[in-house]
Amino acid sequence: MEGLGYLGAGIGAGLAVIGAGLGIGNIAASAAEGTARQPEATSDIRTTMIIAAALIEGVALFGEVICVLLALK
Amino acid sequence: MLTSGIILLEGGLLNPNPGLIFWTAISFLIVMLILSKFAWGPIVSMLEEREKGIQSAIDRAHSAKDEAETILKKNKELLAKADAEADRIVREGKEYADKVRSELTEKAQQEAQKMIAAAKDEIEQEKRRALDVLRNEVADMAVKGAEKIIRTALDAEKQKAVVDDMIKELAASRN
Amino acid sequence: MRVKAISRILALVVPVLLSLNSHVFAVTSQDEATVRETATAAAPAAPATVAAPEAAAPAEATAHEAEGEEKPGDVIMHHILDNKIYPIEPFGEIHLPEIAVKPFGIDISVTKHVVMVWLACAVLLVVGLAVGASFKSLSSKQSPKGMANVIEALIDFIRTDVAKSNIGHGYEKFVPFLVTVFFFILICNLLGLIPYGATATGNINVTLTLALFTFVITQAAAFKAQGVVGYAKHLTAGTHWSLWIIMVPIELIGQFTKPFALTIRLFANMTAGHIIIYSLIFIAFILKSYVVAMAVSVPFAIFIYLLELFVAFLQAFVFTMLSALFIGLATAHEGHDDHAVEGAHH
Repeated sequence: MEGLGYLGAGIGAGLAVIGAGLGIGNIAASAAEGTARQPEATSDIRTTMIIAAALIEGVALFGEVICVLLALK
Repeated sequence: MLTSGIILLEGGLLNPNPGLIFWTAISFLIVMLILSKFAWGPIVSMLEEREKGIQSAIDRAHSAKDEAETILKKNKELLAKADAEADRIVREGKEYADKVRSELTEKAQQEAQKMIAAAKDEIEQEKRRALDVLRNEVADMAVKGAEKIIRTALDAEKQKAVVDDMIKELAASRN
Repeated sequence: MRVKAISRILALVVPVLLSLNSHVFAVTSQDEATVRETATAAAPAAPATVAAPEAAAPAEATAHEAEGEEKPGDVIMHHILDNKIYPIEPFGEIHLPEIAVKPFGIDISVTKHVVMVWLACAVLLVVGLAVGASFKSLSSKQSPKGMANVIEALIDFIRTDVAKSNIGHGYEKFVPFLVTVFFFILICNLLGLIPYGATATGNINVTLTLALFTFVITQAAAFKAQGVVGYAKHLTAGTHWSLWIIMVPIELIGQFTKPFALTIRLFANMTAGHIIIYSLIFIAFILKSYVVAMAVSVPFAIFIYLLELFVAFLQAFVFTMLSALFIGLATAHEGHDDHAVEGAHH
């Protein structure tokens, strides 16, 4: 039964990465679109993009930390 | 795996450590106070000063530009005025010249007319006088001719010769 | 010189690869002695690469703890977690002083991460005071040079693009805190990336302290800007009074989740990078293969290391940016249209 912990950790890490990847991908796509439409707003868009990406990444890292705790237990 | 689990629980990732919190807080506060007095303060004030300097330079440039524009405007106005003045002067001069010329021409024409009229008058008078003279002469001639005819014989041939003579004489004298 | 080093490594590695080819990917339960042998054999080859200390560390860790079986997880945790012993691996270790005085019953003895915090403070003080002095001797007509120029560019960025655009009116008071927190986190992050360093920002206590500073400043600014009545009104989020019983707890929790999110984000980012580098290195030791070490562990570890360099700057910026954003949200006077943004952060 001890192996289930590793299984859970692995699946959890994967799911967190999927979520974060989708989210950050969306942000990057929208940012690229916005930059293409309004090149003069590039720096604003970049700042917003970095903040949003950091927020999503933070949530994903919560998940990863929990997975590491599971795997190391 | 058991050992690592124990490590996690004993000195785990999420374990609170008051000593570290204490030292971090104290160090951070001290560093922040020292640096905001000796480093960030001068740098930020320098940045502000530079910002102000740039702003004032921009303002000055703007005011200089405005000034230059007003001067340019004034210059243009002056130039336009001078142009108008010159135009006016030239036009007036032209007008005056035209007037003078037409006046002069008229006067000359009048003079010429007058002279012609005077000449015609004189000619007329001269002609009349000449006619008078001629008439008198012809009358004299006719009287002389009649005298001669009467004096000489009254033949036809002689009469004719006399008349011819007289006419010739008259023509010669007239010329 | 470099070519010589690389050729030496190749000369060392290629025959081993050829001879070990048969059981390259064989995961066998060999005894401790073989693991140690493999690890120590890898150590001389490693110093030519960027990831050298990381590669060398597990070998030494294995050698260090002679008794009992040691798992990769233990080594990783040993590296990441705080400790009262500062290891300088081949040369021994420094036992940090235990402070006998325990005010309020808490142990304030010096640990590895306290040393790193102090080191970061020292670096920050030296750089900051030098730059400050060079700025004082500068007239407004001259332009700053070298280090002063770099610091000035960063400070100007934080002042205008972070503080001014997020806090708005009255941002000047918060600039020293934001600048200090930015440089402090940045230096802590970078100190964790140099050999023999440890990431103080990879410890949740340090990030919690920094987030607490943000929290206190945010709350103080909110009270100062809005007064007690305005603050209470802010908690109701401008809703109908019948909803207050739901809204007030939510808003109250929201006040605390912001610094909590700051804490976890920085801690997890810095910890994750180190765990990934270590895990990549350990792949080679778990599989006991030189092929994996040369083809997977070292290049990927170098890649992650470079990524970590970027993340060090990014996380310092994100922490500063979000601090400024929270302060700006707390001091905003007009309306409640900013709650949409706030909600996204919860």
